[in-house]
Amino acid sequence: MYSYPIPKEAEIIIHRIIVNEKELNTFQLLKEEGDVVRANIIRYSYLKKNSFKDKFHGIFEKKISNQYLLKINDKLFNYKNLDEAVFGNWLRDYLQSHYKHSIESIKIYETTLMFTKEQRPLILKEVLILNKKYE
Amino acid sequence: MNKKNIKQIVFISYLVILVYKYFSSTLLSQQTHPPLLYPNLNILYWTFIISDLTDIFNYQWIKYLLDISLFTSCILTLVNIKSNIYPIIFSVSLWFYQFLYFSIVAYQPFAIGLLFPCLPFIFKSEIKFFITYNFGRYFLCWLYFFAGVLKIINQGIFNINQLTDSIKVSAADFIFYNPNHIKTQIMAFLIENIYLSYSLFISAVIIELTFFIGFLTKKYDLHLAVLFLTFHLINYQILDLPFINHAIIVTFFLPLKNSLNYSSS
Repeated sequence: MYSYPIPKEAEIIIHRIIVNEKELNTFQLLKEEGDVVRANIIRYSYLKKNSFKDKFHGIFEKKISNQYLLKINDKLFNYKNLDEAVFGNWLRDYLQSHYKHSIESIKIYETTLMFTKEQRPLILKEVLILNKKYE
Repeated sequence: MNKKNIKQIVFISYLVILVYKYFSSTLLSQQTHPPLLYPNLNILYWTFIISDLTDIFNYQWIKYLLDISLFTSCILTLVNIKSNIYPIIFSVSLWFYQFLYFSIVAYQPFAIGLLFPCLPFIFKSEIKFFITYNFGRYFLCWLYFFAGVLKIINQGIFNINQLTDSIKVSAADFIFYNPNHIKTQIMAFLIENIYLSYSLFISAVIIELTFFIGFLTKKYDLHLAVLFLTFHLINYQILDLPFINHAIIVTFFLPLKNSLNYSSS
């Protein structure tokens, strides 16, 4: 439960995963497996929008001048080796090992929702954040 | 209850959690390490990254070793109940496991309860055990009382939409993918009935603040344990927040008999 009021302008965002052109409901996985998939996608989506740098990278970079500390700052908060291919391959291997299905394609959409008067979720907009095809 | 009884309950509970983890495929050997890091909030985890421990533990044989160590040390603690060597091995393995698991799940879930109930048993000395066990109990009371206080300081308690907004933000994906689930229907009902959900939120804060009683007396520990479980069961129903790993911290409310022989210690 949140301790602070959620801002009125806060967007309700979920991530839709399309595997082999079919929607994947991660809630049909075991609870903790589904958590791993959803949490990593949320993190990937955030990092992709921020050039694969954590928000702390910029904060510390401005405040420290020591070379050694800058290296630590880089190691902790700047993910130079991460890109769509690296994350997509991990996700494919993870899903394959837990689903026992061969995966030929993965698409991930960042989806903004709103709730209707009947409290049903309605898709407002979608952005494709990962699109990988495998042989 | 004496130390032996409590030790049996705590380590049987750990064994149940480990078996649950095995069937949930969340032991380290069952996971492939994601390429993402999420060092926010947890400074101890920074040391794992800086020292390359996260890379070292990526070797499959080390993951197996850690998982085997968790199971065997837990079972051996129960078999050889007087030994404190196996609880030490278990605690070290568990702390490594949990921080590595945090790195796999890429966020810091509220599951820190798993880390603490094993710690009092690493001490052979009765007095050190007694102090640590009671420290754990006060830590548990503080954790929940402080969560209630934070909801006042951060003003969430004054927001009538607090619970409905929390459901929309935290459980939107659950609602989206499971429109006919009983939990979704409860969530939709609460979103629609703002005053009812606000009352529920106020009740949750009152439950959290009630843990202050734990600082004053141990007489109501059983009641606090029931409140703890009620609080988390409701949280699971309306916000889809799991608590199986965390729930073991409630063992700090087990009634420990003060059997210290002060003259010999």
